Amino acid sequence: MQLRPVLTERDINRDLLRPVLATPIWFYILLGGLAIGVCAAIGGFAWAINHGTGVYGINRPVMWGFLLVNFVFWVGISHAGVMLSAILRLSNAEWRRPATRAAEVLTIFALGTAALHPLFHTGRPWRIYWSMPPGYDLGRGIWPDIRSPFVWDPTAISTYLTGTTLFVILLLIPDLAVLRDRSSGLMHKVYGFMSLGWKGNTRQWKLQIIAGFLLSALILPVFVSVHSIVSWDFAVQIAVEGWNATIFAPYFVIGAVHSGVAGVISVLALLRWMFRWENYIRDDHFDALARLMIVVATAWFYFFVIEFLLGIYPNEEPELSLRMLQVFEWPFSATFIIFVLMGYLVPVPLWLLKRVRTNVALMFWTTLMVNIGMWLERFIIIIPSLMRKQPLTFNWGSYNPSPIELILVGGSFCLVFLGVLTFSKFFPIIPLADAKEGVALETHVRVGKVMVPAAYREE
Amino acid sequence: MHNGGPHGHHVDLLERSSEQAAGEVLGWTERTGPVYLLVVLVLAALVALGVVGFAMTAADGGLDSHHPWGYLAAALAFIMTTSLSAPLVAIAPRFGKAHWNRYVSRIAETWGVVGLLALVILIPLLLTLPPADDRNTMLLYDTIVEGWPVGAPHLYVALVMVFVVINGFGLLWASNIPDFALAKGRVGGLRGALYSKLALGWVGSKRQWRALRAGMGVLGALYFMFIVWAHTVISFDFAQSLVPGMRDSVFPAWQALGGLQAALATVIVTSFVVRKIGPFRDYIGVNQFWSMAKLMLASSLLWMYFWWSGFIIYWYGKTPAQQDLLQLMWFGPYRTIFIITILLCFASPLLILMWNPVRKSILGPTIVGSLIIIGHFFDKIRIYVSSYSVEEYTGHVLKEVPEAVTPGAGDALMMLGVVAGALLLFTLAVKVVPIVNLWEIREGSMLQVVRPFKRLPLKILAKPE
Repeated sequence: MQLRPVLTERDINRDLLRPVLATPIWFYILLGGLAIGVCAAIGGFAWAINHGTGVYGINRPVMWGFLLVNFVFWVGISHAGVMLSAILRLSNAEWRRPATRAAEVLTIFALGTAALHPLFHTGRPWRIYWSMPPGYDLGRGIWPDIRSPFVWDPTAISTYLTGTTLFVILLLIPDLAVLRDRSSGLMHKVYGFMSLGWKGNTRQWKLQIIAGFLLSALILPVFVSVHSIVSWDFAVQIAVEGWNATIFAPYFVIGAVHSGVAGVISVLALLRWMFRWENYIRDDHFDALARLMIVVATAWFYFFVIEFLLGIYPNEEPELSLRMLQVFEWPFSATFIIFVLMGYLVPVPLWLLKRVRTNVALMFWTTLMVNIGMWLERFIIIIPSLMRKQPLTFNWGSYNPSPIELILVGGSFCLVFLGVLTFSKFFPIIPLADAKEGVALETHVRVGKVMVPAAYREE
Repeated sequence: MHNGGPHGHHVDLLERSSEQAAGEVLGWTERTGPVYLLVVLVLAALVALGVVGFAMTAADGGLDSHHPWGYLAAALAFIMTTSLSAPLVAIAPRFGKAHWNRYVSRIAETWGVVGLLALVILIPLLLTLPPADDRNTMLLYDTIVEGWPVGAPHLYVALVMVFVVINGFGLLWASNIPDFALAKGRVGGLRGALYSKLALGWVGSKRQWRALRAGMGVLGALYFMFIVWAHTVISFDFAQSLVPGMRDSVFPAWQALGGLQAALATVIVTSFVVRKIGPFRDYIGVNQFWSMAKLMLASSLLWMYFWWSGFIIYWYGKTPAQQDLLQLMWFGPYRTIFIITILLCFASPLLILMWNPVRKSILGPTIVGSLIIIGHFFDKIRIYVSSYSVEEYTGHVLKEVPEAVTPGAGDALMMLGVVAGALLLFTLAVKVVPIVNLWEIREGSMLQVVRPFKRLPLKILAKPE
């Protein structure tokens, strides 16, 4: 028999609103720990502002260090939201339901955190307005080069952040109405204001569904453009060996989806453990996500292999030297091996086994492994290439991250998880409406002696 | 089809018993009327003309150089992109546990038989392909160890293509085993004996079904990987590595993606034809076209995105070498063909299929599918003929952008012959294998039912875990 647990609307409200309506003690301890990490990062950044960017490990010729590696990493993680929410919503995948909001929220906080990194890197946050059109200093004749991906970047990231936030708010409205009806005092007023007078009538549902589909479709080009533009920050630079590759845009996008979906799986495993949501985030959800990961990871690995082979095939000395540095010279050799093993060679063969795909602990550790690998991938792409800039180089050099950079990187992880955790305190992190719809549409079909899980589908 | 319910609500389910379906499908497979024979004869005559074209080109340019064979290379790439990629349309939805593909999966898999033609064309192309010495090749010839890998690129190109073809036939045969077993008792003579042999004693036991599913899963996954690698090595060794200075890493991936787009187009157009000429109106319905059209629209957008990703780097770099490559491939002698390709492979799917009523029709996706196939035909000419026309293929920089190579009579006949050959092999195959997958339809009818939801009859899709 393949029967699933039977859940009523009452069960769903009770279970999924539990973190919002009643907070366990461990929640505050965890929140406090993460807040300490964030405070340390704020302190580190204050130190950098006070002393200048000399406190970072960057120096000629490696002027982009850990902070920009981390920037690319968090932009990558942010790709999970749309990948899961929009694409799976458009394709009517039933198993998306428990994962969508966690993915969208992860997107918002990852993207917001990523956007901080250029500020950390430049060390002059009060000049942020220079990167936005209203702040262009045209009066002094300083024209930004609108052909530069550095100018496209803030536009793409802010559009994506706005779009994803709208997406989350829109899909949150029915759940906010449920919270409005179950809260009192100030929170009742806040939820009441945010739920925009939602009553759940036919017209409101129709509008909400249409808006959800439209936003899903509209946000997809933005989703692709964001990491493409990030990749072009590197790929359009012809003077840096290893970067001027035409495959960079799709390679970065698929890599971002790889790490983003892995991040969502890790978060889902944590949510299941923390809130005991075994009936909502089920083994078959992990199974489906892992199947998706096999496809995405294999496509990403194909791109990686092609990029690497096409780098060395012309048999040109500078490029060959760079690849030798990446693969055979310490410490990059170690990072390269770890990255390939963790990014693909260990997790994907494991996911081929169903007992791994349906084991939450193994899924958590393997997806965590993927993200360690993917962080190192960005490191391997950025640092060795800058160490061997060709042909306009005047010196070669190495790079060692400073303690301040390490604190900022660590703090960024705390900030993202602090954001997700705080969100889960105020809003349901598994969409109530989606879960109820899933239950309403869920049914079974008898095939011989077996009951097979099924769902109603309106076409 | 079940067309039930109030409010004109359409529920797309086949209303046929297994017996009826088997009778209709196998009956059509067995029948070979005069029209069919005429089509076969015409296609065979066109193939013969293709052979004449080959002889003319061989006599004119000889087999000593690769330069005269650009159009033949384009023809090989074209059938790889359309016919040999078509089985992907059966494989990918099967992995995704979709149901719509059950009615068209056999059409997609049957295109795998064109692999035989691809192998035949590959022989002269490999014989004339320049050796790896003094030229950049895919597998790093001389880069790491001198003279390694042995036989590059000819050996590995041949091996990849042989694997693709064997795998394609294996997949087609495996997916046919239950249908052969069903058919063997219904037909006599040579055909019955053949089906009996191919059915391998299939009785439909649990063990056999488990083995079949596992086998088809492995063959499907391998086919996916082999066809992507075939696109990679063919586009690399027969195009990119013949153009000095062309370091376009997205190019092989773009060609593989084009294969997916053209595969969908091929299956859509074939489904339309099969639906028209056979008793399959109730089998291949709007749902199949709609589902494939959505994927075709998505793959068309991705196709353009991949092209743009490559183009912007060259355009932005603006080095003399990159500008020469832009001239050779896109904005120089083949500019018109390039514009036609963009219009047919990107603009037409976007502008036509963006409308749901068009996507959810039979004619709309078929027209767009036809345009995409034509677009890929031109695109292969642009890529392969321009690459084959570069005189000095060694070195690191393209020194001179050659003129456009217009096709001679031999080239035109060869291309005609290759296209006719692909159609001929498919036409012959559909009279051997049932063109609609009977066991998948039967399985689908068990996993799809119509039940009322509130007051509306809705389709229920079951997905075994």
